[in-house]
Amino acid sequence: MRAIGKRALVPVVLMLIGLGQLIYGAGFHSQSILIEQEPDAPPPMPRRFEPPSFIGPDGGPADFAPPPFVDMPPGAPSPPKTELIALAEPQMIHEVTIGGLTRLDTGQLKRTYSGAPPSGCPT
Amino acid sequence: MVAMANEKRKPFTVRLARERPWIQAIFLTIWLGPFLPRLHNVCSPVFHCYSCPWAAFACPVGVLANFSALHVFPFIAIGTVVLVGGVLGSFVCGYACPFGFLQDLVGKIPTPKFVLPAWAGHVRYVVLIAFALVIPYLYGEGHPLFFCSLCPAGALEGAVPNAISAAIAGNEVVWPNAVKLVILGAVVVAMFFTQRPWCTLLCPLGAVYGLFNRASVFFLGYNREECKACDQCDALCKYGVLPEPGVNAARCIRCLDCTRCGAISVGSILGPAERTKAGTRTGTGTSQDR
Repeated sequence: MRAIGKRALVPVVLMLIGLGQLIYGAGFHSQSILIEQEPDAPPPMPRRFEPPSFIGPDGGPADFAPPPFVDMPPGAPSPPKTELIALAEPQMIHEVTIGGLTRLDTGQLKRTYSGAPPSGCPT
Repeated sequence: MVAMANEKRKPFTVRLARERPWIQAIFLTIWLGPFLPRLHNVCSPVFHCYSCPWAAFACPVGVLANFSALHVFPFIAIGTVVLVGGVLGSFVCGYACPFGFLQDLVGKIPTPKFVLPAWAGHVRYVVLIAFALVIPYLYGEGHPLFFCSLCPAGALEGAVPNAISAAIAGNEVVWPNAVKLVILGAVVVAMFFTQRPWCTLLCPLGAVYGLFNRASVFFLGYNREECKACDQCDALCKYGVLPEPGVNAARCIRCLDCTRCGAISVGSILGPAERTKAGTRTGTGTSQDR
């Protein structure tokens, strides 16, 4: 019995270490990730009012059919919003399989894409 | 009693070794399951690229390299490898690894085979430390020597199929990294001339599992009473592992071909077989621990 215990000591310790790491990684380990959200669509610009002409193209009276409003040029897009989220390790594993995470020079982890994830690993 | 137990175990290990290609094929359908859900947030215990369109799990070496680049400790990848390695050691390499299965299939083609020297197995640790840990940690995932940028399994299972499917679909083709393709080509050519060149020379995951061979729950036991010093085990091992440095050597992939000699069998920490130590056989009819 003692011989079995002695023989089993190292494998059992290894298994417990592996199991402990798996449980901790799957259930408790997370990391702060900087994500860039898709910029919001710019708010619709007010349409410029264009008074209808009372004279038609043939010189006669106009039928007042042309739209009275004309679209203005679009406004400047708003800067992308960044947000810090806690990503669990299983999600981080999924992200790295598509090349979705990178480390900035500041040490901060950042998601490499915004919106739809890339379809495959970049390598 | 012990001898009887060993006699009962022998046919099982021999049968297991004989059925090994079928077992490998069954495992292949698990790692490469086109109809299985994509569990890319779970690490498999085998070397198999998650870029493969059919890959069901994440590759532990790819995760290790990427997490090293992120400076984050990969608890799940390390935990999976330690747990599986602690139970099975390199049985995973011999029976479950899809890239090993491919090499075994190519190795069946009758071409002259050379056995790599024992020291070549240490190159795997250089690959593990340099390309999967240090370079990613220091230079990030964009470095040309980042492990996944060199991996032949990634080229074969991910980059090439993805490029072909993009071409068939008429989409823009992203050509695979040339270095990766050259390494893949070299490994494929080497498969014809040596058994499992990737596993015995370069595989970082095999290097880790090899370390567990001396401390796993299941191991190869050597029965000195049965040994006739006939060198049959030496002849049966295609990888040049036996008789030195021992049946639980780090280079062994545990294919169990050597169990046909009768003196070597599978043991467990609960069974009667003794885990044997490294050593050499005298060749005088009596034998020392191996």
